[in-house]
Amino acid sequence: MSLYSEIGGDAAVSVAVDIFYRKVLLDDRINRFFEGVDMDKQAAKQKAFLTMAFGGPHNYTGEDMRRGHAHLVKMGLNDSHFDAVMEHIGATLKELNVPDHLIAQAAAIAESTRNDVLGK
Amino acid sequence: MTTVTYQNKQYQCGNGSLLDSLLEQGVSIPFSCKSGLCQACEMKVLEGVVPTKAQVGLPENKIQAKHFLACQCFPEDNLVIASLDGETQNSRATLIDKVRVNRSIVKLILRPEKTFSYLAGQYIRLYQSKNEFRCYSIASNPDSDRDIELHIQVIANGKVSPWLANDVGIGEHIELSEAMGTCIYPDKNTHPTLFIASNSGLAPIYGMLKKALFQGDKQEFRLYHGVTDERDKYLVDELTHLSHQFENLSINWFDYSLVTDNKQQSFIHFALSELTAPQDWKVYFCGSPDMVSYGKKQSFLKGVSMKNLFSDSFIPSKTN
Ligand SMILES: Cc1cc2nc3c(=O)[nH]c(=O)nc-3n(C[C@H](O)[C@H](O)[C@H](O)COP(=O)(O)OP(=O)(O)OC[C@H]3O[C@@H](n4cnc5c(N)ncnc54)[C@H](O)[C@@H]3O)c2cc1C
Ligand code: HEM
Ligand code: FES
Repeated sequence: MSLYSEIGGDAAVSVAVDIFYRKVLLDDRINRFFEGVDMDKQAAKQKAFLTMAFGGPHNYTGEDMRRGHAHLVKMGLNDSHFDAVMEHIGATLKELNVPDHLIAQAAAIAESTRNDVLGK
Repeated sequence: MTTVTYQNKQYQCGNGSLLDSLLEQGVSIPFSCKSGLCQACEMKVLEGVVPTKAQVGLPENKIQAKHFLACQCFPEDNLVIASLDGETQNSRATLIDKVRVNRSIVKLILRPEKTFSYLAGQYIRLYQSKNEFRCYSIASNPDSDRDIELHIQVIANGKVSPWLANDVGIGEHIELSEAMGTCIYPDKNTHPTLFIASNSGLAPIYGMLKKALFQGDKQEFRLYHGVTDERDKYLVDELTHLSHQFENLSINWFDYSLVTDNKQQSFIHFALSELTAPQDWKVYFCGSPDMVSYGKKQSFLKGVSMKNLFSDSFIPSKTN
């Protein structure tokens, strides 16, 4: 069984998006990157974001991640911001009572995108 | 760079939307909002695949038929596309009544020539001419009203709203698009519901509120109507009457002129101030784009779920 379906699939991701995105918007270290983007469009993107972090079906390549975050790198996106997002992914899953070993798997998937997201 | 073929000619598409690329290269495509709302730029893809984002807001049958919105399309593949000439489902309606309800708003009653179907809260494009049209929200309740009621806020130097208010006479015909939009009130809803409207944003909310109450929904409903000034209130008697008839409805007005700055923000804070247990509530926002985007963000941060937020942002046309 994949991590994505063990966590609860599409339904779980929808719940997780609310919790995760609320944390992101309230975090002054990173919320400037999310400013000025329409909530409806963000919702779809956040869902794609978490689906990917949970190992679910997506069709983003490393190159897409690079392109999708390049304007943020220009705004100063760096490792400390990436770490903050990792924190929120972990805390969100904890709040949803996802067992630790699955949280660790999700964190590893998200971590594997670091170089692409940061354009390194 | 991708290549887009339209009417046997090829066009290069760079960073902008497909709509902007075609307009820049001299092609005439109908459009208004450039925001994925008015659906005037709807086209059809014959070869290639459009990104799913270009189909957001279209009904399922149109997605199946490979329709998409040119203003929301940032092509990743080469495409062959076509216009929908001859396929659009516009219809005509007769203006049967026109009432100036206050200094800023005119109420229009339109009688469709043939059966017109819509959902509570949806909007239409209303045509002044082939290339000049605007979106207006339907204030009627589809369960009981056969005519279409619109509330038009008259913009002093506008093109379409003053024309509707001053020039179109009773008995004249007006061209309308099909109804569209996803900010709707459903046949079944048990969540307590907060409706937040600014000025003519009351139109879709009035339609949805009537549907909710008359279909017998028993949960709590709260309406907040923000107006530029006391003189811009309207439907006061009708709403007050509804709140007497239905004890699960409460109504509050907010007068922007009584606060000096951050008017939209003050209104939103007022409207959300008594929202306890936000995770249960559905919240609808209709009207000024600033009010809508601020309101959605604040209610989300307060704990309303993203899936329970609905909105119609009255974005001005980009044709000027
Ligand atoms: C989905 C949707 C639903 C809508 N529903 C309604 C509705 O039910 N009732 C309604 O009254 N309107 C509604 N609108 C707004 C409407 O479509 C027009 O934008 C509005 O009537 C102005 O058109 P106009 O041709 O008179 O002015 P335009 O010729 O388009 O604009 C003239 C100038 O006025 C500015 N302007 C436009 N609107 C405003 C404003 N509100 N305040 C200040 N300046 C402005 C423009 O930027 C422009 O500079 C809706 C818009 C959308 C996208
Ligand atoms: C943890 C690993 C990350 C993954 C897997 C990831 C994934 C994604 C995905 C799939 C999208 C949607 C792209 C699209 O459809 O357009 C996206 C967009 C976005 N991401 Fe990330 N992301 C990560 C880290 C970050 C970080 C650290 C930030 C900033 C602090 C960030 C900020 C954004 C923003 C603002 C957008 C929207 C871009 C826009 O529309 O302008 N992401 N991300
Ligand atoms: S939806 Fe494309 S211009 Fe309005």
